Amino acid sequence: MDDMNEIINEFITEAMESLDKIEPLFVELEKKGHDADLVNEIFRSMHTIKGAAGFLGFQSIVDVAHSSENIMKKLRDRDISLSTELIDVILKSIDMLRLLLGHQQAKDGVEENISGLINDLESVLQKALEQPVPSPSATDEPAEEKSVDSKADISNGEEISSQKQVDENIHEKEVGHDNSLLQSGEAATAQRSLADEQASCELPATNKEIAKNLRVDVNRIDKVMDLAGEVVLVRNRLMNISHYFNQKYSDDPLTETLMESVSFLDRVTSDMQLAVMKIRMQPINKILGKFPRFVRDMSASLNKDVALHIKGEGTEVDKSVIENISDPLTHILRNAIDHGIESPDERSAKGKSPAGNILINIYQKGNQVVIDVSDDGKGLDTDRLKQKAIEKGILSMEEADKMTDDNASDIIFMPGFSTRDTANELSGRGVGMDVVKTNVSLLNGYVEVRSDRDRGTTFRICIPLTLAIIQALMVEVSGSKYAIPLSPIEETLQVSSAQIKNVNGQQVIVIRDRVCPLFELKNLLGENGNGNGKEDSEQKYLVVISMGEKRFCVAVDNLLGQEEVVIKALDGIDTSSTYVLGATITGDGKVVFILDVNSMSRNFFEIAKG
Amino acid sequence: MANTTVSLSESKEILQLVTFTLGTEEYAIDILNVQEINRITEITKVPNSPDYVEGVINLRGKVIPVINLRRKFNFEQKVTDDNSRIIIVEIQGVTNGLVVDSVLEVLRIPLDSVEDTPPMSVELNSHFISGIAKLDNRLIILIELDKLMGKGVTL
Repeated sequence: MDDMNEIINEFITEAMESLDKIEPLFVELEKKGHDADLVNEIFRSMHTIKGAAGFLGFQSIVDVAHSSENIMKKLRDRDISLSTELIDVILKSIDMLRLLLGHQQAKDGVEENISGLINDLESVLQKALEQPVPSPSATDEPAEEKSVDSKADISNGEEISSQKQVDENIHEKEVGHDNSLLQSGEAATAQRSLADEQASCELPATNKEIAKNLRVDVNRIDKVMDLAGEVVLVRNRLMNISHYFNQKYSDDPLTETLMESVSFLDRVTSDMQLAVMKIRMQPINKILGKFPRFVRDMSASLNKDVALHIKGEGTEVDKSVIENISDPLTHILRNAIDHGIESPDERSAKGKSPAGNILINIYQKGNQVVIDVSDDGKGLDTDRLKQKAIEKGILSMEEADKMTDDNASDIIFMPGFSTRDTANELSGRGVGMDVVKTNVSLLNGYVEVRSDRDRGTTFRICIPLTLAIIQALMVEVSGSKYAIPLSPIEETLQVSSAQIKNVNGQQVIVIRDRVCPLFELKNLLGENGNGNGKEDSEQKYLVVISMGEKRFCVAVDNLLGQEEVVIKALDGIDTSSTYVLGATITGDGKVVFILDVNSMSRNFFEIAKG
Repeated sequence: MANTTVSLSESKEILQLVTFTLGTEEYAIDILNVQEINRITEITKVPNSPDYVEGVINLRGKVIPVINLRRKFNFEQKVTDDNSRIIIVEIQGVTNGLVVDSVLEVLRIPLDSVEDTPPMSVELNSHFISGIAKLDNRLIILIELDKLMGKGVTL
């Protein structure tokens, strides 16, 4: 039974991936008009999904894939011509396939009603068949060129027919022993070999590179990553010891050998750590695939014409970044289409092309990955932003007057701010760009906005390449060491106790004319002081932290400096109320906690509100 | 699982246990839960955690929580000494350490020497005791780790 599960899981992963792959192709197809290669690729993917779902007995998936495949087949054979209606309904069937696959994955046994969709698919096909197909000479592609094309594609065509044959074989076998196949483990292997057969048929014509890839369980990679981190710690210890020997026994010739070996180990370890980290890196285009469709659907529903351009989709980022960046990006895109890009008439009136453009540009800069989302829309109306913020009571008159345009642009990141008066389905649900800011800061990154009136808006997201390693400020409280992530830290100061005021029991400090609440880290962490800490000394060190518009400082006994730390998860401890995000292990093998300033800020300001 | 004990009849089911002490009492946990047994190393206190969480340790690069069983059972506290050990256990996929006074031995006992937990006062939190093994004149309390700190049990 486990074997069977494995096959099913593999099928689901692969099917999901091919759906992700073909979805943007539809949008491309719509843009380009008829393109034999694209149609073929979509057809092939649908066919593979259908075939595999067939011998696993997922009938509803087979039905949906079959109907869509029929349309693709007719498109390929040029029996029908492409229409928006056709693409809409096939996109819908892709959504349905995802849903069905999701049910199979969750094993929740939920049945979706697919008959409506199947009817749609069939009626659209019927309608398209009845319509006269423009003769090849009438299309933009001359007939001669087409024949050249098909000659060039001979290998491709052959491959398809051979694959088709194999598939038909599979189907014959499947019909014969459908039930018995599904029950015995031996049969599962037989299916596996059939699947392999099919895969090997597909392989030569598609991409040779596929053979070089290996699907590996993430846990195994994480394990290697852990071990690599361990080697780093041992190296650090060895380096300390070798320095000691170098100082004490500098005459001994062996000391030099030791130093040499250790420095070699040092280099190799660094290389190894980098290599392991690279295993986890994936090209970001994995999440970009859904955006062309998203932009198409959303701009259509708003009667706008928006073209999406993507640059740098091959940029590689850590798996964890890929998993978390999709939502903020969707939000920014939604905002750009809804608020940024004007309607075609408005654009024409301004002398712009009726179609708006959005560019997603992704590139690596140092150890950060930068994602720019720019539109050529109307830009941010800073006066309106200010006015709105005052109305909502987020901003005072005086504050608004003092604001520069740049600062005013940041208003959109304030919690509870949304300029749309009526919430619509697509954006402006009261949750605004502050969500983007929070999500990005959870990834230890930051987001900025730049805007030119009538020329467009650019959102820039900067995120560290990996979440496994962060820059942190090491501080000391009551004799214990803690790490504070560097990204939300605004500055550090040294103040005397006299500067700290007390307002209604809350300690505050005035930093450059701004009042800032102050918290003793000692109290936050429930440290009772084990005698090592300096009790109420005259001088205090403050770490000023800003999370969005919230700003506060924490007082510590000592600042120890900046370090690159490897985040280790804390399994088995409920960290929800501990202000601890994770732990790290320092060079001397000690465990140091990384503080969760996010939950601190949430707690402080909730208390303040209540 | 080498068959070292010959005296026990083969037809009977056998329990393999690791026994340890807290105070004067002997306790036992299933050997399959035990990953390793370590001497006390440096334990870092977790801020704002329940008092029975002794802290965390660095187990070859993994940070794992350590539970003080004396505190968990509301026993009187005792300073750790040379006999104190940390038993590393895996409970439902999560690795934890347990601080105990000392580790005694690996024991193989027939299942039928285990008696059900005698009815105790309701006040007593005894749901994680799966039974009591009688061995000559020893009484060993069997602890079911899943019930002591598995999922759904608030740590």
